[in-house]
Amino acid sequence: MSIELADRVYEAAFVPELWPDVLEQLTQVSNSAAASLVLFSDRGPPKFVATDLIAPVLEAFDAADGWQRSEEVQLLFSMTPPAAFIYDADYFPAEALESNHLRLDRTRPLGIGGQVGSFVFMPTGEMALFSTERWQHNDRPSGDEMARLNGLRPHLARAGLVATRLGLERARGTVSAMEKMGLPAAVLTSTGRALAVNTLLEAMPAVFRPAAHGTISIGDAEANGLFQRAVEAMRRRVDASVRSIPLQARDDRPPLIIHLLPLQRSAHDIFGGGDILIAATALSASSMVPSPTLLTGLFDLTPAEARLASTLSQGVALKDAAAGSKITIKTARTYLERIFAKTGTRQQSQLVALLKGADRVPTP
Amino acid sequence: MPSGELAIFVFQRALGEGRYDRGSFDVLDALRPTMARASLIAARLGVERARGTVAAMTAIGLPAAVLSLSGRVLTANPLFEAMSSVFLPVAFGGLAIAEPNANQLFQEAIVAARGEAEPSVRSIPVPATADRQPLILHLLPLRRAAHEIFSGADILVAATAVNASSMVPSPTLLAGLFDLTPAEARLASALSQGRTLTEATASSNITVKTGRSYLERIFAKTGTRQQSQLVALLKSAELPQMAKRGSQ
Repeated sequence: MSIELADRVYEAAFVPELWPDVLEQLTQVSNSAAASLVLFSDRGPPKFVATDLIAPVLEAFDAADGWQRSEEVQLLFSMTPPAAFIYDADYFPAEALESNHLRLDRTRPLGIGGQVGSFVFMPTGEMALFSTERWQHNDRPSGDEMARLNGLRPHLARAGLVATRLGLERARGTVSAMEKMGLPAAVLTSTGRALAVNTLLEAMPAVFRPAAHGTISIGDAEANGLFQRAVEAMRRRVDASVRSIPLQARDDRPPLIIHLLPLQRSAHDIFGGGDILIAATALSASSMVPSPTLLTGLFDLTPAEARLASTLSQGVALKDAAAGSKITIKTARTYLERIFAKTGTRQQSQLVALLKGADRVPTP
Repeated sequence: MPSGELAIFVFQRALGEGRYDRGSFDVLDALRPTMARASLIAARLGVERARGTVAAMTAIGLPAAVLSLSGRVLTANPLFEAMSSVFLPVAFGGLAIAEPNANQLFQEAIVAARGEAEPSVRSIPVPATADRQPLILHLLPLRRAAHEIFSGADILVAATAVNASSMVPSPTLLAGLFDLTPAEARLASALSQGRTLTEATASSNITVKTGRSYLERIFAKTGTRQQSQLVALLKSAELPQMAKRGSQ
């Protein structure tokens, strides 16, 4: 049993949808009523997964802001918990447990008594709490039940660490790919903490400033206001559509747009962390120009036609493009007619619209 | 490994230290399950890293897949899988492009990426067909650090559209970027699709004359002098996209 359950615990690190099943197994091996996994962070409300009986209680607790108001939770954060499962009656003062009405008013009617829980600290500063709810008729756990839970604890702890690391790896992979695409990018948690940032974004300290708690602020007051509001709206899942924030040009840089995109995650992925992708695009007529080779392949242009089309896609006037390629305007006009025919366009601005941005990724 | 790879842990003794005794074997045997599990997790993290990348590409609206250096598809997003007329599955989990010239360039690029110490980004043109717009396939090598032996080196394949009306900035965005009035921004947005002034003014219900005076102000505020230059500037504003963002 225990080897299979341990394997299932590690599986849940990669497949968060399995956590409810793992928690269900935890209740069975410990003869408990229910089990839950809660991840506390210093920013924002905790995230949790729980078995059926206790899930509504946690949701109600959360809705009533119970985490902030519960004396027990406050005590939790002020004490250094042992690296083992502990029975709450053996650890917390009786008055603290009895005064926790927010919990007791909901758990007692269900036949639930105390809790057996264990904390795991994450390298991110977050704290995971694995806990089982005891039946009132079997409140104090037996030595056997505690032994089984403690036997599983190292696996649970490691799975949490792996899951956190997984979220970090995903974030890093994403921003690294964005870097290859020439886009400054970062992945943020739902509370705005930066999980991963690529070097292109780091190279823009005037725009993207590191702020408190590992968050980012934008170096323009109005844009920053829009940015922080967008992050908050995404956290509360209010209109989770793409946000684009404009930044006007400055002496040392072109106009920019900061894009915020929500990243889909499983509802049970409480460790993953990466919720928002931010990317910056810079506006420039001469950037992202498709190479002549690419244009030849796309539209069957001759090399000379492709060279002209590539130059024109920067928005250059025909006479300037002709001069640059050392051809006469007459020749350039002839090429242009053929380019129009082969690309299905009728005027220069339409050609530019078609070609510009076709090659988002920088070519060598 | 479930991926078909084989991980071998080797322990060696110096000459003169003698053979491993039973006790040492017992210690190593006891550690074996943990080492095996650690290897599986490390390999899995590599796959998940790739999955995270293609998921982000979905959020942007780009069909994307990650291939191993041998050309095997490790993971692909739904946008990529929906392009079954372009991307064809072939033997051993590999990938081919439905257009012969593009496919040749594609296969050559994969082989070349294997041999390069610093693999370069490659772009492959895929011309239009009767029922498909032209595409560009981008191959982005995601080489990892040498010590990351479990996650290997992968290639990200992403597709972008060649389409006049893609990547058009919204009027709100243009207003914010260049201090355009709402009317100027609407016109600029329409023009950035490459439409003529006549077409753009008609759809905004303004006269061509009004449109011309807006255009003069647009040129002044954006620092451009002709329509094609304006389009070139505005078309660099958005992230590349193939489909509506976030769609499956």
